[in-house]
Amino acid sequence: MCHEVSIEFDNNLPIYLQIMNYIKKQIITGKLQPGDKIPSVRELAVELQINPNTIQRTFQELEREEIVETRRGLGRYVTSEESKIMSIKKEMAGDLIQHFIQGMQELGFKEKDILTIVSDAFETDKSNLKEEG
Amino acid sequence: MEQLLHMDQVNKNYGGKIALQNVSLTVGSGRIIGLLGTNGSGKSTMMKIAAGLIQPASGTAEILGRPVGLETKALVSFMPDRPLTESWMKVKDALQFYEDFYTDFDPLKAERMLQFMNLNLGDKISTLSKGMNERLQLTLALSRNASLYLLDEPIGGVDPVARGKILDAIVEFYNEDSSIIISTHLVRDIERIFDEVIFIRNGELVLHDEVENIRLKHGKSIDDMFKEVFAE
Amino acid sequence: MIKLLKYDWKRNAGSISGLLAVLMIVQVLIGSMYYTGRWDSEVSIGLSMMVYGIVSTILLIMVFKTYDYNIRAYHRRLLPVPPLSSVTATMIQASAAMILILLLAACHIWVFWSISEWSEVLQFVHVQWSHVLVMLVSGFLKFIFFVAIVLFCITVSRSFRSKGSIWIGILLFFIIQSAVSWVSNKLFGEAPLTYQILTVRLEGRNYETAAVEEVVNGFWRPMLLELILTIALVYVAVKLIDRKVEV
Repeated sequence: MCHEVSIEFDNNLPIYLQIMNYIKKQIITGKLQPGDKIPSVRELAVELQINPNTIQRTFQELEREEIVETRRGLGRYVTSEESKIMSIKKEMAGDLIQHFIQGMQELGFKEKDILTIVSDAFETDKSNLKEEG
Repeated sequence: MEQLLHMDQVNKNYGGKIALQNVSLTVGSGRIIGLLGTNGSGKSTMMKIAAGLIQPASGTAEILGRPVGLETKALVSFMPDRPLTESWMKVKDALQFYEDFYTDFDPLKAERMLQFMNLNLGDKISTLSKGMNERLQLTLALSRNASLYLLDEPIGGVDPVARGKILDAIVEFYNEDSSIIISTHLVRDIERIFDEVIFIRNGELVLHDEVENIRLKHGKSIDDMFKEVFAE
Repeated sequence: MIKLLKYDWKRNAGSISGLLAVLMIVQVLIGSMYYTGRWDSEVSIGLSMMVYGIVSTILLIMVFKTYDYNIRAYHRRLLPVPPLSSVTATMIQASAAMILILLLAACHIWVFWSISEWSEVLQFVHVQWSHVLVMLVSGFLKFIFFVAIVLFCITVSRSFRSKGSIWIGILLFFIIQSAVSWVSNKLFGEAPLTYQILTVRLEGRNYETAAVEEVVNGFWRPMLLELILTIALVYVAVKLIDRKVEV
């Protein structure tokens, strides 16, 4: 993986969770493909100016979730199991939706209103696209 | 976890002024530890005791199970708050000095670090800028394969560019079998390279925990925690 | 310890060679004043000796300042080198400085004698090498004892954190000096001074050997005392560096 890593950390939250999310996002968006090699602890630590043990912990967590696997003597790789990747996607989507719904509810919208707003937004989006095309 | 540094009930005072009060702590290997406190809180005193420059009034300090003394000086690499070089020296003399006296000096590592830090062997130390001098001191301290590195305010008083370079070097050149203790009062710039932090206030140890634990438990950055603990 | 000397030398090389260059120039000037007949021999010799005295004092002060610097310098104190090495390294430097000056002076005297009418005076002096040796050894030990006292006093004064600690050292120096000579007098009677051998040699063309033997015998007891005290002072200084001199 030889791309620029850029990540804005929030020092209020555990750094390893932020890096985990970052890597998951990279996988979902396809920047990291199934079977890709991921950088070593030291490479990533130096690149992000992060404590190496924090990176180590990130990788351990990712391994525990079976998103990353270690091949002896070769390094760490993104899992090739599509189902795993699918489940990250679902998990992250779940988080996003949860967040969204919570926000909307705080604004006072009920389920029906929210659905309407969302489908309206999709309609506007589509017509925008048509106009541009 | 090996006990790299162990302090037990260490007290120290200068004249009537208390510098350290009942400090007990244990540091394992493979860690980068922030020693955080305001000026005059006892950070330097603690480091000097671990380095064997001063003696505790009471209590014990041990490096790898051996009482701090002649023998442990070979195991500890200390970058104090003043230069470890003499004004007549060129960069190469300073390195030669280290090579002459420390058996764990690693010439290859030193060479790589010099390059990384943009320092030249022929540079006269007296003509180096403050930032460059700080880089040199760090190069000297880290070019040994010591068990414990003690860096006293390595990023104090240098510009952000030099600061970044120094943090890079610390992460890049530290090895997993050793530990680094970094004292600083500039927490925000550096907190992400720590495993653990030790808060020290008026010579007393007030907190010693893993940084991720602190973030998890308190939902706070170490910097915010620092400000809270040291609020007047 | 050799390595310590190497870095002390590197630090002071510039000022030492400068000082020696000045010494040479001044001596040549004095010499030329003498040979051109502008100054008579008493003035020239007197001045010449005074200059040697001043230069050796400056050299010694430099050596002591180096020691004072070394026991308080972080990069020296951090070295895994026993403090005894710092003390012995300083003693070696002090001795080297003295020997250097003595050698220069000896060369000077030799040149002076070989080209002046004084060479005839020399023929009266029948040098007995064993006595010269005794003189040199005892002079050297006296010198080392003196250096040990100074180093001890510097170390003690640096063991205090207070401002006026330098005066403690100076006071201590005189106390030790007078205490030692008092004790020595009490124990062994009036001790002969080192140069007495030399005066005896020069004055007595036909004096008896017994006189010399007496003087030589009078030496060794106080010498032994000084030797023991030297070791004791160094021992305490080393302990102080280890435990009390804080930087």
